Amino acid sequence: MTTTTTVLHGSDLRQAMLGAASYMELYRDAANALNVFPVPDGDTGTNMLLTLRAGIDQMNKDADKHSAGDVADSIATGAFWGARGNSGVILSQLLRGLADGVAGSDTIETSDAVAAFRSATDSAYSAVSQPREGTMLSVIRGASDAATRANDAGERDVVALWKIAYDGAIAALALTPEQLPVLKEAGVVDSGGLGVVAIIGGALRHLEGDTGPATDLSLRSVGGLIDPAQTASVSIDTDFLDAHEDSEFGYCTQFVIHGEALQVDSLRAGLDAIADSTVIIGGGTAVRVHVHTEDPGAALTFGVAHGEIDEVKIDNMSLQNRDWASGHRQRSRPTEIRPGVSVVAVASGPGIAALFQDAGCSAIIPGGQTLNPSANEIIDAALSAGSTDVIVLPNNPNVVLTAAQAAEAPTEGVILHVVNTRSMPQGTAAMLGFNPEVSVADNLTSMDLASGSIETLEITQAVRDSIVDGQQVLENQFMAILDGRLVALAETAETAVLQGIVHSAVNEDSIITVYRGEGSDAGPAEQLQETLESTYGGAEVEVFAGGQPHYPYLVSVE
Amino acid sequence: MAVKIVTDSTCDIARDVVDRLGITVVPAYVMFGEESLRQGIDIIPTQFYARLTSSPQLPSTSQPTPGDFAERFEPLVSNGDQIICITVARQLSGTYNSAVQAAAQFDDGAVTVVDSSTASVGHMLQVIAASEDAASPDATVESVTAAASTRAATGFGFTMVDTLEYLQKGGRIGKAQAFMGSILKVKPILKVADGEVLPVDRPRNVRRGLQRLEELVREQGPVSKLAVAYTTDAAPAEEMRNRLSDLAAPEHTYTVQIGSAIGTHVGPGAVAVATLP
Repeated sequence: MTTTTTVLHGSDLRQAMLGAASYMELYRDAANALNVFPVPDGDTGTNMLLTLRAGIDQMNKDADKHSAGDVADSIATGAFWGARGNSGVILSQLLRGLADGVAGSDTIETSDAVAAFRSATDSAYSAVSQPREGTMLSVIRGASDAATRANDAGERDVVALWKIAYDGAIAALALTPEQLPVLKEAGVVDSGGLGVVAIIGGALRHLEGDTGPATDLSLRSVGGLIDPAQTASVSIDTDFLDAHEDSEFGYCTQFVIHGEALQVDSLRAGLDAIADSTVIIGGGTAVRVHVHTEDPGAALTFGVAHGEIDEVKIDNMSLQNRDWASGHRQRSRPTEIRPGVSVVAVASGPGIAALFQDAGCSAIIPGGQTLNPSANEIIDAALSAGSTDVIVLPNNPNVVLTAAQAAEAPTEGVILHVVNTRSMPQGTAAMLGFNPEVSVADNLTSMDLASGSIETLEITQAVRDSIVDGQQVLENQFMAILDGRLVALAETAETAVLQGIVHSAVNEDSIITVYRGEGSDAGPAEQLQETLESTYGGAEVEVFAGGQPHYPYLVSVE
Repeated sequence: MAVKIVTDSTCDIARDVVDRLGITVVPAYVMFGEESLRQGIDIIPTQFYARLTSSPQLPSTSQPTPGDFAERFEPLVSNGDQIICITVARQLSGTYNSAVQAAAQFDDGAVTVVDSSTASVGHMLQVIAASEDAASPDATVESVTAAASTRAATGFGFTMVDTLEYLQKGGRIGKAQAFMGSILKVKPILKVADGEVLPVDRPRNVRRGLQRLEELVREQGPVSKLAVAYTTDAAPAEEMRNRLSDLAAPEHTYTVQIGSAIGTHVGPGAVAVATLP
């Protein structure tokens, strides 16, 4: 670069954030594919992307904010409410730290940027109770350390400093397999770390003035084939925004405008007048538009007025049920909050959701097994319960942090508590320990005890070849995972149950509960029930149609 | 002239105990349609449960009338005895009111009515303890009543039901409504406190339920009297008694079959345990 950038303004930060999101988008599938466990959930890339988008959404809402500190605060606020999954929560804390680091600053100099990176690192580390190296924490720290050294060495160009931080992040990402043996064994780098690299790299591209469509960051040397050019399924053109979203407006409308000297700011102002949740990426001869609107025709007409439109995609969001445009929506609160305790649970599968409600759960937050709910969705459900104390059952290891984040959020007159259930069966057990007639403290004790009294066996098919705990796992093999540990591999789901359950504390006094998954037939499950009953004479075996996706069987042993 | 104890039949006190302690029992009614049967006189438990599980319509229960109470009070009062009548919890039944109305027909102080605040074997233990107090040579109405009132406040009991269906249909489910779920075949444990049915826990099967009942009883501290009860299956009640055999001497431990009044509401397969401190 020939010019020196000594300060960044709020508008630069907005641009950087859009760059971060578009590159996170590009690397989403790559990050998703880096799950160490080849199971079809825990989508790190998707969770980070949706969390970023929640930040952007708030940033766009707060269009009247101009100082760097205020823009960063808007981003962090939106991300806080929209955080999904453990990686999303850590990212939201990282963004909060970043905002704290530049709080009150009108512009960002290199020393401010260093303060922001440092604060982001500290905040991200504090988001988890037992920080581990070889994760996205190490990657943000790598960026932070590199930025600090450069600033100490006299670097005063903020964009150059950012580039150095980015290089530091890439180096830290490359080290993650050396820090976490499970990564090395699986032959991958950390997925959340890749997300942090994509975010810092995307921001850098935009800060450098390259605001065109996201292109590969050329990371392939870092940890195998992780650039989208090497992964077949990624296309920013056809997959600009996830289809699982909604807001108060009816249609998610996306298109590209080809024209001359397209001005993002004026286009945004025009679209904001007729639509909501506006995201515009690009500039010059092409911009990509994403809006939520009740009248997609008006948005398209607006586009045509500024050039030729292309790649039109319209989704009816009322037919979908996901929300990342969160954190600023009017909450529908019950008219009265009564003293008392109630429970809300994250659940996927109609049978499991019905079971929770039948057992006295006040509200169900859909998701868990696949798409993780945001902190905001958890809070909405908790507020709808109508009691002063609400106990949240996350029922998935990747929702535990989000639930904790939701519990820390300010919620007038309602206190959220979390019982750290890590599976649907654990949640069911906790639910049976719930008694609305006793205090919240007593409930937390008994529910925790109840959820800890069972073992969970999860059966799912490997989504790709992998090595887990020294075992070769082949794509489509059925894995039996007992409380997070791979204990058996089999060619059928029923065999996986029978081989996996051997590793539990099952005996003739046990109660075995089998939740059969989405699209399963009763026949094989009944046979499985008979086999379990005869194998463990005296044990009680119950089978339910849980309807959970991706997991043909969830089994609890108590 | 003595202090005499009267109660209603819903406490399922056994005949031999009644005879030994000189207790007067006023029968409650169970009705199958138009047919009204006196508990323990016109229908005994085995007959009742056979009809309960086979009858297309659920029976209903009815408290003894004031006349029924007055009829039993009369000979005792004429004999110069003073009466303490201990009834099932007044929030659960009109029995207490019937007894109070009957008592009003006699001179002031002739009949004192005490609300047990509970039901079934918890109620029964209070009746037995009051009868033992009354048998003491220096017993007075005041001292026996005071002790009975204390027990009404401190005794406790738990009932594990096979289903909450009967409590709900009989309109006695109270706050145990919260445990009404039916997908998981839990065995709800309930208690009666201050005359109200409250939810306690939801074990997954009878075996876990008995473990839980044992824990609940042991959590309550010292025990002077213990009673276990069942509706249709004696085995779990016997197991409960054996598990708790270290807590109370055999002569202070009772096993009874729950009759038609409580049985209508808790249904087949219920197990109850109660203690006095």
